[in-house]
Amino acid sequence: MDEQTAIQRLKRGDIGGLDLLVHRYQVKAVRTAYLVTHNAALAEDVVQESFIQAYRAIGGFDAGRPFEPWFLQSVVHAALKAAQKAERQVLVEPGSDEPWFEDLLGWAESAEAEAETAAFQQEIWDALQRLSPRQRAVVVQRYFLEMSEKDMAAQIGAAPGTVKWLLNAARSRLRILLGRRSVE
Amino acid sequence: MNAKTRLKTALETIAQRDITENTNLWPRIAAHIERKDTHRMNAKLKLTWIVASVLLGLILAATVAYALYHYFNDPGLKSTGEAGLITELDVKAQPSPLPTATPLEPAIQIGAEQMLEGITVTLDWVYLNDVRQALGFSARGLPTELKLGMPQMSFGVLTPEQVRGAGLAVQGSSEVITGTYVIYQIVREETYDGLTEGHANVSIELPILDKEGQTLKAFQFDVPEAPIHLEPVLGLNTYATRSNSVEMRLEWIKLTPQETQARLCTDSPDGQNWDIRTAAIQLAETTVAVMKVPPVQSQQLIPIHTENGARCVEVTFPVGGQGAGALHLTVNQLTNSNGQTLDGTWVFDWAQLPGGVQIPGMASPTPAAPLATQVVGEMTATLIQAYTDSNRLAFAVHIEGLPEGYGLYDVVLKDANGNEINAGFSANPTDVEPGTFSIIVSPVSSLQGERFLGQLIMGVSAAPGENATTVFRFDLDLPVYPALILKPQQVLVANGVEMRLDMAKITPSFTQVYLCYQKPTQNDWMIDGSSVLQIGADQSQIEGYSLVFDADMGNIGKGLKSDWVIPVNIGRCVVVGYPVGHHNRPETLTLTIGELEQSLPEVIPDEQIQMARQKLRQESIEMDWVVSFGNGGGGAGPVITKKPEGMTDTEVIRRFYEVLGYYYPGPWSFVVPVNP
Repeated sequence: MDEQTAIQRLKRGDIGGLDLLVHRYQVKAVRTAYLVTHNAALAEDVVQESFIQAYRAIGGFDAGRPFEPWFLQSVVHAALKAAQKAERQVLVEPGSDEPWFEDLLGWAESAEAEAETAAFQQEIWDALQRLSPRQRAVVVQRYFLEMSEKDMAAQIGAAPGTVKWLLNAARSRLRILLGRRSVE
Repeated sequence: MNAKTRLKTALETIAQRDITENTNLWPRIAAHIERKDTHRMNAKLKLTWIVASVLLGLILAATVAYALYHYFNDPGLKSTGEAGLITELDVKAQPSPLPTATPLEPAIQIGAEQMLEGITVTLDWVYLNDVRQALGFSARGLPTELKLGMPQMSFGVLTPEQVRGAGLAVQGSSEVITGTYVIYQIVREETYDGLTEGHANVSIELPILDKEGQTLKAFQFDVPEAPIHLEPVLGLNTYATRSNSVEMRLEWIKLTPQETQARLCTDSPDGQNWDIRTAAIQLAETTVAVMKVPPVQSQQLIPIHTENGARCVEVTFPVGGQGAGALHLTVNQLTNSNGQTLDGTWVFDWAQLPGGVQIPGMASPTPAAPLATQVVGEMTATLIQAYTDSNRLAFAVHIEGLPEGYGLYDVVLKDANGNEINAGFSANPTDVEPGTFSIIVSPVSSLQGERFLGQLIMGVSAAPGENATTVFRFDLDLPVYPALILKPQQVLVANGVEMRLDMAKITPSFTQVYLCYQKPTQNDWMIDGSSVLQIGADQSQIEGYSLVFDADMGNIGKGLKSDWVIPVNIGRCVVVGYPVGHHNRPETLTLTIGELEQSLPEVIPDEQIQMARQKLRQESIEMDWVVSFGNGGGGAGPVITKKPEGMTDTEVIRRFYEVLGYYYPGPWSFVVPVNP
């Protein structure tokens, strides 16, 4: 059974069609949700509910479009909601036009970082956790799912400027958080 | 490796480290879907209407007012409900799917009549859609011991595909029976392009059955070159469902005034020949109501042999299906020939029984269908209660299928001409039931006339400012309770400042007071937010404030309240609202304004801050006022480092403002008799 057949079966109310889609996308979906929620159990719950929502909403899905981006967007959205519910929002500090990559790059490409890959990853992880859920969501969309800013704007129904602002705020905060660690 | 790639790699590595490849959610998801199928049904309240569905004429019960307080918490609306002032409402809901509907071709009127052995059958109409086909007929002279069978439709050279079930609704007396038959399947010409309507030569067979269900005779009709319309049919009925590896299908449902029949078929991949021995059904006019109806157990099951190896039964339920628009059918156990049982949950939700399907050009087969309910996509909105007076409108609405985290963030009220009404809106979830909202609309200008004709538009979205994913529109025709207008023109002086209560407009739910006062200085002095209005036993604080006149601001806002002639030339005039109304009996209005309050300036001069800090230090309060600036603008706020034990931060800030001179004490207390 290919993906198109699975979707057609699903559209007819046959949950057998969902089986293939779950097995094909569940791991990436849980990883995506995990990066946003920082909680593996919560991420699994989010993805479970997202598949169930997809099952219910499949009637409105255009079968001519790829399933993965449509579904992963709903996962990000649900993960964001779950994360916002689960934790107090971190204060968004003012954005900055400075390229946040400079700090990251300097440290990421250093011999020290190469020698401490695990430490670098932990640093990213810790820094992500200190972002607001919404900032985390845009970082995950942009750098994990590799969505373009245009696609992100289209999918959340926001102006491109809003996405730029969110990314900027996330970058600035990451830069501050990573920079703080690097000088410590 | 650049930083962007390195970040992606880091994210992937973290995700792979903590979420392994063998993650498997399928058992949980499958179990959840099957277990929660009743909820799915609610979400699937896909009572599909065709884009140009006709009005669902709806009337809310006249007793609405008595329960208003269940949904609305402010004293005005509570007392309105308790007083039972509302005696009639006439609320109509009009389905308004997006995009805007265009007129549809009506069904083909046939009127062909045939007679066989004293039974006369007339094919009244036929309507073909590429995903749903329907016909209507009437029969006379049908003996009571005979029944109508499920019609069969064929389409000449066109072969139907993806059959998803059929329904027949029969109603009427023994003299004249009318029937509506609908089958869900795809019928398309080979040249189908999704845009151009096709045609089909339709052949129809209407069987007459004996008591055993055997076909005695059949009426045959032909309808050549019937158009196949393409308008969207959005709703879904459950045709097939799977539980414990056994797939079950609901092939058709037949509803008569006396009983309901269904044909259910199972496929057992394990070859164990599982049979259905019992089933239960719930029928109601709408998908909202169906879950509130107690289930009826099946009484009779007749095994039907089929050619494709499926095991089918025709199940009879002792419940009449007249007027039913939706069903919920469940099977919870199968039995094999060895007496072994297999538990499961096979659930079928139909939101499109023939009794509920709207056929263009045909009157609704269920004229008694429910009231202020609309279905758009996955969601169903029900307007539960409505109330209108000249100062306020209030609605209670329930949304079934609302995704978690979604809300009503975009509410608009339009008048009969389609113009948006300038008003304040609040739409908040109630504690009564998840998905239930109270909507309160406070028009800037009082509503005029005895009735309000207009439209309430509610957009469902994930967050404020985001595009609405679903929009519901309810046409309104509501009585408007007029305001009792008092002109006390009382003048009081307190602390050297004169204040005048010039007018009050009091409805059963809300009071607006028209005040003018001198200002202690030329700054922005407002009525303090803790002022209280009391009528009878009900009281509340401010909920609405309009600046109408200020001599120091170039008479700003003058004329906003065109029905009020400003009675002063100096000072300020405002209209202040309180959610307290009159109770239709003689009582007293008491308005107590404890102080005037100056709005916080954009920048508090530093010398004033330092002066206040010094004074507060003598009261054992240490605080600073911190200003920050950013790309998105600046902000300021207190940083409290020390305070007396038991003092709250709010009290500290209040004290800070007092020291700065931002409050001007009164009090002014007006007492006015109310005689409706």
